[in-house]
Amino acid sequence: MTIAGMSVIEILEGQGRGEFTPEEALQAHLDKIEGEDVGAFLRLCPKTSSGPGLLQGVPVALGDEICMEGVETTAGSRILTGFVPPYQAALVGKLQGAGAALVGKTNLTEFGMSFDMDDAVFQRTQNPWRPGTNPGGAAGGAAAAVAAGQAAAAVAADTGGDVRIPASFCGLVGFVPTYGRVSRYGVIQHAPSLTQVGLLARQVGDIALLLEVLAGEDPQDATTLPGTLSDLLAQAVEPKPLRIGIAPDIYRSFAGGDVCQAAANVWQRAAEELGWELVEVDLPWLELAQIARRLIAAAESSSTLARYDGVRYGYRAEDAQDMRELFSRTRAEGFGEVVKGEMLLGTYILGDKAHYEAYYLQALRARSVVSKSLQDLWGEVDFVLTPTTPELPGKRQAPPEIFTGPSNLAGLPAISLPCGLVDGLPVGVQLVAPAGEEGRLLRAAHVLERMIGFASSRNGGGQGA
Amino acid sequence: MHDFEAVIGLEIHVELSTDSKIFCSCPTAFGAEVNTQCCPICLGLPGTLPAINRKALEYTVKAGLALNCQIARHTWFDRKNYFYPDLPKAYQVSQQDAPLCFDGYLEVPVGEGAKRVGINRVHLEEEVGKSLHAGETIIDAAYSLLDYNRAGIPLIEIVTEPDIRSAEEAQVFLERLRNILRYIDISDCKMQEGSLRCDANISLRPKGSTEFGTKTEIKNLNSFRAVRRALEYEINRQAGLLRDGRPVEPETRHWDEQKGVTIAMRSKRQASYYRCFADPDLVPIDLSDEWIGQIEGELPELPGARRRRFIDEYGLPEYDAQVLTSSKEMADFFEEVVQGYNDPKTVSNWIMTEILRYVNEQGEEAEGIPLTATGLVELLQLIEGGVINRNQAKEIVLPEMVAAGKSPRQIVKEKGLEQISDTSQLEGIVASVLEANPDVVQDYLGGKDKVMGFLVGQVLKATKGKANPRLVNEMIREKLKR
Repeated sequence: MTIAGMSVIEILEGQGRGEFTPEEALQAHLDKIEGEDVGAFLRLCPKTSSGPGLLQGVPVALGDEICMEGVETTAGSRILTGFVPPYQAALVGKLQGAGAALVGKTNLTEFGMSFDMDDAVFQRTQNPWRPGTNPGGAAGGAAAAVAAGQAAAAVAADTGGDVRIPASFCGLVGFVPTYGRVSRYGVIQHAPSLTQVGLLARQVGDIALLLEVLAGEDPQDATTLPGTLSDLLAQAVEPKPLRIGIAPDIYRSFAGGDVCQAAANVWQRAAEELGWELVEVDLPWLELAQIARRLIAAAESSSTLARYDGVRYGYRAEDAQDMRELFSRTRAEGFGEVVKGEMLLGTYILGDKAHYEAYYLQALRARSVVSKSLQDLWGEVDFVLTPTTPELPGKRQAPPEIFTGPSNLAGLPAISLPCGLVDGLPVGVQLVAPAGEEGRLLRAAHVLERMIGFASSRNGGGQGA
Repeated sequence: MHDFEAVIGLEIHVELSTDSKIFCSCPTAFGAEVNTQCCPICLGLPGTLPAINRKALEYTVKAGLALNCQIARHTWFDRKNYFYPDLPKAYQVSQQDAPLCFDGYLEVPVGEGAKRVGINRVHLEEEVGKSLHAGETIIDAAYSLLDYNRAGIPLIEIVTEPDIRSAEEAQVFLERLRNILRYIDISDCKMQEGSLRCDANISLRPKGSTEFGTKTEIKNLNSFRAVRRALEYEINRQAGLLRDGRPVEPETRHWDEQKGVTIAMRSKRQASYYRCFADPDLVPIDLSDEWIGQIEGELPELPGARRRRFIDEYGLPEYDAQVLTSSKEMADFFEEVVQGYNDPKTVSNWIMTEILRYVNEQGEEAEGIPLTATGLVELLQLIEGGVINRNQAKEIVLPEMVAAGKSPRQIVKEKGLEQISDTSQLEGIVASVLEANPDVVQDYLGGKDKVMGFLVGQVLKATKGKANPRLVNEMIREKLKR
């Protein structure tokens, strides 16, 4: 077995058995980047393992929205061209402290504001499963890097499905923890209230390990949760059969039949083979949640991205005659169309009292409704299972974040697992859990993963389901 | 003017004197080299996040309590969005919908009585940076320089109700307010350094009317005197317009201190809207009754209470108590001196006449009392003990104490000022004075007490003023026993 393509745990075990060194592990992944250009990385900054730790010698890729001291960081936007942060994200320090080898910065759609990787500004990223195919976004570069064996795992921001959608398209495990579980300090965001630091890897076990390293309260991020997480997969068995909430009819109204069938296969097998109990639930607010999430993201981004004005750093329009021209031309030239559109929308809905009440306040109300409804569901079910995406990459019939967005709206942990191939391309199922229940979620996902038996390697040709 | 009534409301910004900024650990000291007190957080660099300085919350609550405000139990910060180069995030973290403190008042003396000026709110926000334009405004400047040292210093905005009715009242209100803020030690309140700034909203209406007229807002008020002068000017300007039947334009006006006029800056017809919404990077704040109670318990005695105590405890007249408590430094100084020299009225007289003269010479932004309490105690003891007389104390010793910071004893010694209080040294001089003035002695013996002053004066003259006059007086009386 070649090193590139191994899971995090396989790399750790391989090193443990003395089969290869951290340097060799990193080199193998760098060779893979050289050998197979899927456009995953915006820039490489290979740093060998900084010492012993839980992730010693594990090559990890970072989305380019994550600040690394001394390394140009653009969040996929021209407006941050040339910006080299003199500080780094809290999570970078944790990864380095755990001995991870940071490979480079991966491509994303501008500020992560589109789920369609074809909207990326700097370069096109290919889905390693089928060159020419969209890997999904916003963290398309991170997913492509892991799927192509150019990194064992990746970390990227998830504001509505940015990590889970490309995980689903690229046959990987994509995960978001409870809002506030991992510090957002140093992660460039457009909609802070929705942003969870997401993880991408080949296996649930890898995710658990990464989460143990990254979780924890950070005085620099007021929204972080107290406490740390450890031994996530080692804990007790569930005393009762798990109850899984499903809403097949609602899924069918948004998702293609093949995608729905793949998800249904999973829950039917879980009922038969694992004895899990299926509970039909109502998720009548999916579309409302999608609209609310978009409006909130737009409003927050109109404010959060306003600082990019050319005065202090990043792109600056040349020869501006006065302040207004400097601001407007810098922003007109520096931002792409998608970001401009969302910021205009956000400015409009916050733009006067009537708009604020009609749109922004309504979106906040919808957010409460969704959170409350999910809160109520946890009395009946342990997790909700949905398809991760409504359709295969490249079809643009439904909002790609229709199933993933609600967990961001409610700040809940969620995981996408690859569950099979449709037309030769991977599809995923998503489990959403109550806040704070990452351990239970990962253990359930671990069981499901073994049941599905999806081989994450493209070359393995596995079609588990 | 007599047919109009002025309606004035003030907006006062006060920089809090916390050691570090509101959302990061940068220092807040005034006068540092430009752009040396800033970091990725107060510069709003991408991905950085704010973390609230609890001290800033505490100071704001202190201000609210001292101004008789309600304190919010649940509050949060909003983003106030606008583009300007000195605003690093292009939004100011402020409080729009849930001010920490609201519905308070401050009592100010008006004529013989007192009135309450309502405090609409006291909220906490972040200070912006400073711009220096190479030109009149940022738009026509050839370039502008930016200093972000100030960006992120905690700032409170105090908004009054439109309860103020004259320029004088506005000035008195500000003096009272500054006094209180200094008493509770949350700001140094220095207008010339910008740690206290005031904008004034003013409109006129016919006397007796309860409706509001069109208001203007006056900016660039850099001293209490400027507030008063600008308001006086603006009252006359608006009255002139209204008398001529012309409308007052709703606008922001700039006070030109040199010319003594307000100048139109921009119209307020199109109100700016700041697209405020709750800042998602900061979690809402819940304040417990316990915490607020603790802060309340730690509040020092406020000026009003102290004034009453000075009357009751030290038997001072109302006027003295008022003057002495008009600044915390002065009141502290008085009490410290009284500790060492237990004659409150004498101490008060000295402070109100002699010491205040030195304080007032420093102008509106007095740095404080230019000598120590122990110094004044010693000086008063020297007078009481007859070592020096009152005039020497006032004219020679005190100025030297202030100028050189020396102790009175040292000054008396260096200048050879000790009074002669030794009868044996004075015997001969007294005898020769009596001998040289037989007519006057006869007058005294004949019952003319008034001439005693002349005789004492002659002895003082002969001793170059060093003889202890009280002692000389006694000696002469003894010698000329009738």
